[in-house]
Amino acid sequence: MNLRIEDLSHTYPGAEARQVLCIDAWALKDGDQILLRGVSGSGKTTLFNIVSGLLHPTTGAVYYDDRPLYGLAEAARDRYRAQHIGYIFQNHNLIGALTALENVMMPLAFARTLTPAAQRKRAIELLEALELSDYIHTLPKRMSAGQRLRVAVARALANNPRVLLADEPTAALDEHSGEVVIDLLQSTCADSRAILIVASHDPALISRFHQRVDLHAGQLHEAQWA
Amino acid sequence: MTYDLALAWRNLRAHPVQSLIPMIVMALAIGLSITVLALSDGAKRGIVQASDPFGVLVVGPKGDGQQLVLNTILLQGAPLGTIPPEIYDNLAADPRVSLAVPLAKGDNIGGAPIIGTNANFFELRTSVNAPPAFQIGDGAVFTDDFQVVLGSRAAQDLGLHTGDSFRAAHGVGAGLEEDVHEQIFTVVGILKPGGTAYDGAAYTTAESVWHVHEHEEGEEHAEGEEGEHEEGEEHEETGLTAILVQPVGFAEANQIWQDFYTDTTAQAVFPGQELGGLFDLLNQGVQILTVVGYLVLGIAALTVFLSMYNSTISRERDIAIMRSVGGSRVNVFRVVLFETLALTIFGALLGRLLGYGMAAIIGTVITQRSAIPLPIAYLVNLEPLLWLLPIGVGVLAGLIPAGLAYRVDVVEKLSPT
Ligand SMILES: Nc1ncnc2c1ncn2[C@@H]1O[C@H](COP(=O)(O)OP(=O)(O)OP(=O)(O)O)[C@@H](O)[C@H]1O
Ligand SMILES: [Mg+2]
Repeated sequence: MNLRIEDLSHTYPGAEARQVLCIDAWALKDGDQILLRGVSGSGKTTLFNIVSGLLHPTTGAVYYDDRPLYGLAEAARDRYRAQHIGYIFQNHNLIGALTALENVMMPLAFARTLTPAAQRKRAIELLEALELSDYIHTLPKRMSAGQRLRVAVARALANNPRVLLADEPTAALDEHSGEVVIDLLQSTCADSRAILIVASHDPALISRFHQRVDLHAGQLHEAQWA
Repeated sequence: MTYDLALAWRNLRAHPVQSLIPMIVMALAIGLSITVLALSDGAKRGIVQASDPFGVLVVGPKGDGQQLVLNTILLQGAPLGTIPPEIYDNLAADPRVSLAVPLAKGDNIGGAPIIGTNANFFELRTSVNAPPAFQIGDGAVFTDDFQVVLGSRAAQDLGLHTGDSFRAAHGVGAGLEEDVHEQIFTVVGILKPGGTAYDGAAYTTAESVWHVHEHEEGEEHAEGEEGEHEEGEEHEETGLTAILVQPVGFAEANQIWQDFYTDTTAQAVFPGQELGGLFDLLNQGVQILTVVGYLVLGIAALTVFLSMYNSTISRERDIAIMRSVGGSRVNVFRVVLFETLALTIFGALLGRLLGYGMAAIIGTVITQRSAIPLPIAYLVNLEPLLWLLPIGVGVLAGLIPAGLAYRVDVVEKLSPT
C-alpha cells in the first residue's frame, strides 16, 4: 500500500474562506510511521478527514496504490474506508448507545469480510489486547476518557487497516496509558507494515518516531530524523 | 443488513419512551380497526348461525319485518303483537308447507323467555338432511301443559335441572315479585347447546302460555278493576307471536309470501332479506368506524414520523460516526427505516392482541346480555391489508427521517461543536 497526495488544497466554504491546506506532494509507503505535528487549527484533522475519504478536497487528489480515492463513488469510498483505513478521532466518536464491543464491531460489520461470529471474536480479542476485558459490555459514558480512547483504537484496528490515522491519541491519557496506546499502534502497524500517521503535539512522542512532519500555514515540512 | 437491523433494534431500545409511544398509538389504530371489523364479522356470522335453523319464512303480525325477524330469531325486543292460532292451523294443513312451527312468546322466568310451541319445534333443521337443530340433551320433550324444556344456557343461568319446578313471571323481561304467577312449571328436559339465542329460552306448549294469561285475566275480572277489557283481547292473549314456515319448495315459498302480502292481520317475511337489511345497517356503522380507524392510523403515522424525525435529528452525530467507520449512506438510511418499520410492525402486532382481545371481550359480554352468538374469528381476508397498511404508513413516515440520515454531513457532524 502506498499513499500519495498531489496538489492538494482545501478551503472550507464560508464567509472568511481561508485556505486551510495546500500540499504539493506527499508520498508514504508500507511501514511508514509518521508523527504529524502542528499547532491547534493548523489543519491536522482536516488532512485526516481528506485522507480517510470523508472530506472531498477543494482541489488535488489522494491516491491509494495509485488509484484516486475521490475517483471512487461515495459508497465505494465508504466501503474502502471500512476495509482499509483505521481512523482514531480526536474526540473518539464512540456511539453512546452502543457498548464497547458493539462500537468495535461496527467497522467489521460494514466491511462484511468476516462472519458475525468471527467479527465478535475479533472485537473481543482487540478489546482484551487493549486491557479492556472488563469493559466489553460497558457503554462509553461509563468509561474514563482513556478507556474510551482505547475502544476507539480497537475500533480503528478492527479491519487490519493498511493506513491508520490517529488524531491526538494520547491527549486524554496519563503517561503510562499513552505509552500503552502508542506501543500498540506502533507494534501493530509494524507487524502488518501498515502506514501509521499520528497527529500530536505531545513532546513525549517525538523520540518514538523516526519520520516527523510539521504542518504549518497549510503546508507540510518534512523533517527526516538523522 | 443484519447489522443494520441489530443497530436499529439497539437504537429503539436506547430510547424506550420515544419508541413506545408511537408503537402504542399504532397499536391503538390497528386495534380499533380489528375490534370493529372482528365484531361486525362476528355479528354477521352469529346472526346467520342463529337464523340458520329457523326456516325460510317467518309469519307474524303486520308491522316492521325486521323487528319481527329480530324478535323471532334473536329474541330481541318486544313482539309486534299476536296473530290468531287459526293461521297456524291453516299453514300446518297446507300441502305447500313441509313444516310449520307455532311460537307464542310472552312470559318469562328469571329473564329467560318462555316460548309456547309444539313438538314441531324439535323438527326444525338447518337443511333437509341435517339432524334436528334443537335436540334434547337430558330428559325428554314436553308431552303435557306446564311441562318445560329449557335451553342449555337458560338451564345453566337459572340453575334448574330436569325434574325441578318453578313459577312463571308475567311479561317480557325479568318480572317483579308481585307479578309472579301461581302456575307451577316442571322441567322435563334440557336442550343441547345450539349456539343460538334460543339456548337462553324455555319451551312449553302454547296452551300453557295462554293458560297463564287467561288465569291472570280471570283474576283481574274478578277484582272488577279492568272494566275496559274488550272482547278481542281474550282472543289476542291466545294468539301466536310468530310462525316459522318451511315450504316444500322455492315456488311455494313465494306463493305463501304472496298470500300474506294482501292479508290485513299477518305478514310473511324472508328472514334472509330482513337480516340483509340489518347487515346494511351494520356495514354503514362499520364504514363510519373504518373512517375513524383511518384517521387514527394517520395520527399514528404522524406520531411515528415525529418520533423518528426527532430521534434522527438528535442522532446525526451517531450517524456521522457510523459513516466515518465505513457505513454507507444506504446503511444509515436502512437503519432509520428499519427502526420505523420495527415501530409499526410491533405496533401492528400489539394492535392485534388488543383488537382481537377487545373484540373477544365485547363479544362475550354481548352474547351474555343478548344471547346472540358473536363468534370472533381471525380476519383471514382482511389480515393482509391490516399488515400492508401499517407497513406502508411506516415506510412513508420513515422516508423523511431516513432521508435526513442519508444526507448527514459527516465532517460537519463529527466536529466537536
Ligand atoms: N467544518 C469546518 N468548517 C469551517 N472551518 C473549519 C471546519 N473544520 C475546521 N475548520 C477550520 O479549519 C482550520 C483547521 O482546523 P482543524 O480542525 O483541521 O485543525 P487541527 O490542526 O486539527 O486543530 P486541533 O489541534 O485544535 O485539533 C481551523 O482554522 C478551523 O477553524
Ligand atoms: Mg484536530
